[in-house]
Amino acid sequence: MHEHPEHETFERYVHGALEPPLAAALEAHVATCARCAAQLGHEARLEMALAEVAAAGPRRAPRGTGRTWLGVGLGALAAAAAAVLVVARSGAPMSSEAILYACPDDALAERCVASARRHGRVIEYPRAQLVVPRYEAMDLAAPALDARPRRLPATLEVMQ
Amino acid sequence: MTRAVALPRSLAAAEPDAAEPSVAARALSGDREAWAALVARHGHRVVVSLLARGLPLERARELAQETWLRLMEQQRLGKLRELELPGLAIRQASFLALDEGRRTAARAAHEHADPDAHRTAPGPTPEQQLLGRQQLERARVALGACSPSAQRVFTLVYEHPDRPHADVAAEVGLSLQRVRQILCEVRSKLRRAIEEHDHA
Repeated sequence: MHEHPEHETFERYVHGALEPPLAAALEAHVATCARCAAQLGHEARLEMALAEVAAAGPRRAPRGTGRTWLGVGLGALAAAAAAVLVVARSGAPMSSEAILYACPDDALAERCVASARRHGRVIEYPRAQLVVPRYEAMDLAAPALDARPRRLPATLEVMQ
Repeated sequence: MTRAVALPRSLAAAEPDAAEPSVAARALSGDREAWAALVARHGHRVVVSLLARGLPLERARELAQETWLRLMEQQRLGKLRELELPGLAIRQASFLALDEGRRTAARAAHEHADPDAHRTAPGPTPEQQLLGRQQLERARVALGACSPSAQRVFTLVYEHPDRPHADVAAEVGLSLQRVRQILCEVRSKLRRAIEEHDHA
């Protein structure tokens, strides 16, 4: 592939719908073309956004304003406030490796990661546990060693 | 260190939706073939998620492989209770990408003796997150303005990106060509909605 691929080719690639020979040609091209590598990243971001839209479902346009900026802003602020992450506690003792930060949903995942990283913890999602790389938890205070999350914390402790 | 894991590029060998629960259950019990099937089915999505974070293609592939290896290791250690894919793999990949960004920033801080450089968060800033939410809401409104059949086609295709468009066409009772046309139209509308801010 000597010429820059068409927009549709990138779109089909990120959607997994490009025929393997064409996909291989595109991959070889982006390895040597910074402009097309950037275009691929852009299309990938759009593809992930479209998947997110599909998962969230359609929304009716609000009457009158045609916009939802205020609602969106308030929602985001609420999410950001919730994202000042939390540790829920119960009494069950666990090993130091199993001290988990409860991450309430995917939207807050990156805040969870940032908080967990600062404190050197593992993150637990509602149905699985993921490893935050380079985890070290040897400097924990004793009370923290007994901490473990609940899925929907009733008692929250705001992390500093 | 990156170890080799088969990551087939094509999703043609993906199994039908009905088989997914049993494949996931088998994978949770340690069945290597089931893991291979899940990697074949969802591997491309994980790579795309890493591309979306700005990683070069080759690095995205390497981190995707590392992602699957970590999930398999988690399963082996009995730490996976459910296997919700591709979401779980995308999140794990995201963690790895963030960690790599942090280490890169820390290395740069060390090399340049900048004590504050390591504090740079590798993830999106609050402003970027807010913008992302605004884009999502605009796109949802744009989707809501599409016809019900167009909404259905879009949702079916994007909720199951590995599913052949011909299957979707059969389910909604339209021709394959019409489904692809609808998909193109809806994508175009949503794309405009998402990129609205960039062109404003």
